[in-house]
Amino acid sequence: MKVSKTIKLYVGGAFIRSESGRTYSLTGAGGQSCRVCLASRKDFRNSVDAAKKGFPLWQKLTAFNRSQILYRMAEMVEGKRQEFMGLLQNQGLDEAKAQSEIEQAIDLLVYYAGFCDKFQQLAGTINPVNSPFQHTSSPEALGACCLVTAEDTPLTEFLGAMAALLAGGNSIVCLLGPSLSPLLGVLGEVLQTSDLPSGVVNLLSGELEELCEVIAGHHELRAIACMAKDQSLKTRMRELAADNLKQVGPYYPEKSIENILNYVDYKSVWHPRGC
Amino acid sequence: MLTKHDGEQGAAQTTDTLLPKQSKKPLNKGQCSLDFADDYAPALESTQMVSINSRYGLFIDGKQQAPLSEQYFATINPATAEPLAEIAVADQRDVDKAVQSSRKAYEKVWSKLSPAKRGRYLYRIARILQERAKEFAVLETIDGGKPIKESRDIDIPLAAAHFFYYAGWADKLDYAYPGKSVRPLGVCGQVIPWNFPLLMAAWKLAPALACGNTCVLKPAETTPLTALLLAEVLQEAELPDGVVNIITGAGETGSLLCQSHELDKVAFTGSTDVGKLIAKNLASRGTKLSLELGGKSAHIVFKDAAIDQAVEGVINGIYFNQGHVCCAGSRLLLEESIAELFVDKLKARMQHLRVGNPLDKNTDIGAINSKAQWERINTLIKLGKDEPGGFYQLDTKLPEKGYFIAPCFFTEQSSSNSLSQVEVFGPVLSIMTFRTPEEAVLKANNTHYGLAAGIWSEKGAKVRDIASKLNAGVIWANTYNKFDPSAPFGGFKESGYGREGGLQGLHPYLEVLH
Repeated sequence: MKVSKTIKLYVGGAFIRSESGRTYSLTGAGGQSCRVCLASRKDFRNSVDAAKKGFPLWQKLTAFNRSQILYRMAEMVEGKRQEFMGLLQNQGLDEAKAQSEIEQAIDLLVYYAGFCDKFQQLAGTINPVNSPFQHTSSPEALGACCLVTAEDTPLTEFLGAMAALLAGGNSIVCLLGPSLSPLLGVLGEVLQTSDLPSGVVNLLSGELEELCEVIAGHHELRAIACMAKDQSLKTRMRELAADNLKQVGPYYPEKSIENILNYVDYKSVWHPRGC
Repeated sequence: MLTKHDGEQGAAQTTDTLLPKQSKKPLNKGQCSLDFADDYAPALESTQMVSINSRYGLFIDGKQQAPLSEQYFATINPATAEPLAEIAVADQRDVDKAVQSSRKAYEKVWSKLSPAKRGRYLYRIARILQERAKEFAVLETIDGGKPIKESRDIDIPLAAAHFFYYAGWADKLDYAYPGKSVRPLGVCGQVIPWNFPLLMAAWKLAPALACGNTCVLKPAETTPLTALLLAEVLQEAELPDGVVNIITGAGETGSLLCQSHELDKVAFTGSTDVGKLIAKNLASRGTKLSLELGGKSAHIVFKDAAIDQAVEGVINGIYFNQGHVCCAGSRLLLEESIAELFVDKLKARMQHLRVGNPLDKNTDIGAINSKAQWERINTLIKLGKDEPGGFYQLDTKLPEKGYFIAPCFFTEQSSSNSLSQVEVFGPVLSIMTFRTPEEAVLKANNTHYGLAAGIWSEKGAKVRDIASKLNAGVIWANTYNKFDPSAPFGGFKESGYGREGGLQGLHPYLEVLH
């Protein structure tokens, strides 16, 4: 007889149930169903707190360290290939598609791992000001961000977006839709075993419609990377996001530095030259 | 550049050698009196080269046109409270007309021009601005109230430099985005504030045009004259009609422009409240938006700073341009052990600030830009006085006419004081103390804003560490209020998004293709 577990949320480095006690059931195209904890508004706010605590821990590491940790994530996904295969196949992907999905996911993690200590050099500048000053501009992380997935966001896009936000030095609350929620458990295990400081990435399974106001209106979040497709929902989020001027940005599935640079701010520092 | 207020260049002027005002003595030959507050004879800049029309229309399609609204308002000289000219009000029909003109110019002319040619037009504009700099400086001071030495040495030269800088980018955009291709956005609506009227126009127009966009520019209600003189420069440079349209009016006109569905881009500099409203209004559309908004910037002075230079820096940080500066260092954070000494030196230095006629070349602090702003600042000063803490204001004779406020500061402030949170946009400084670098960073970051910050310390490693921890887009270490066309400007958090100036300043006006 099969022993099946309820998939918990991953917040502040720990697997937790929703404070609301709510769960829901998801059945994949392959027929297998799973039970997942359903995040409430309060769970979301708690996750932002966790991400706020995670942010300085992530910042404290060197860019080289962050790069190592992202690469470690790729290794952990590789190590759990069989588990990912089963979950993806249950979502209706045939074996070849599932294999290629995992290949691409690993590829994106490696790609953005390599960017952790390079985007600053590509996007930062030394500015030749017309006065005796040394002046530099460099991209800096925004802080705690939210990654909102669509109902059908594939694993590759989610991991690509997550990796890009992390490479930029941000901490994240991820809202997973129906396509990703069954993978929440194994994704949490990947994060937990990659030396990622707790709270840097938090995973919630929840309904965007229910949470969109608390996400977009949250004053501690600096940006939302939004993969949701519903236009009216997106407009509503942008309106609420204007309240603390958080940016609601895109994610490009192509490998691109823009996925990092859309979620940084430039800091420019002046210092006099002279003896 | 600004030398009078320049900390690092003003080392000779150590404040501890300055005598207090009471000990004024007659000036003997060979004896240098440093108490010059009242001793300078007026040195008025000539206004001869400036001619102001009695009435101005809207600049649409390359020529002055009477507004369809048939409405006009007066722009006044804030130093005398007397009207200078009648300015057209653009209503919905006028806004539409201007936007259509820019659209046509974009499609028919500007987008078909080679990038090098676009650059040539910008170079021309820059050169004409330089040639007519004096005229612009005097007009800027008459219309806006800022001291002539600032409009002459900072505003106008920087505006010209901005056009020069971006002129050169026009045919080099491919280098800015290696491996990608870029294209202009189309028609930009640009709304600018009254604190640096011509400079803000340059900050908006130069990168937009260099990137291949056309623009509808809306200068502030209280300072339209230099933008309208710029229209003449554009004509003189033979910029194709409609590439830049300049429409005037109050907030209503700006709001109509920002809400135009025909725009591909909105750029706004002004208050955070209005910025949020614009962001909300554009929520359902793909219109690209950049915002340069308010600030409550912290100016941190550590005990290991060069104190006298820091005093100069703090004075420049808050009293430059009457404090009408979004990045003004309006919160002074002093390390506790030097706080008393520093405040004394600040007071001594303030005795030598001359408040008065902006056209006088000796004036340090000119007129408050408008009656409305004058009232707002006075209301906030009163609010500050009603709250706990000390207050000091320079005791000086203010001109009888016009809108003037003597520089002042509040002491013993905490983060809960209104003046530690509210942007005053006036010559009002809020002073608090700290004991450790951690506390300084915590206090500095304790605001919704994140535009700028200043750090004064002679320890290089410390300066870098603090700079990395401050949530601000522009950080001045051992200096303050420095601007340059190659230097990106813009804020974190609720101070807005996007950068103006530098390579990063191209991005708000381009689409990067994937």
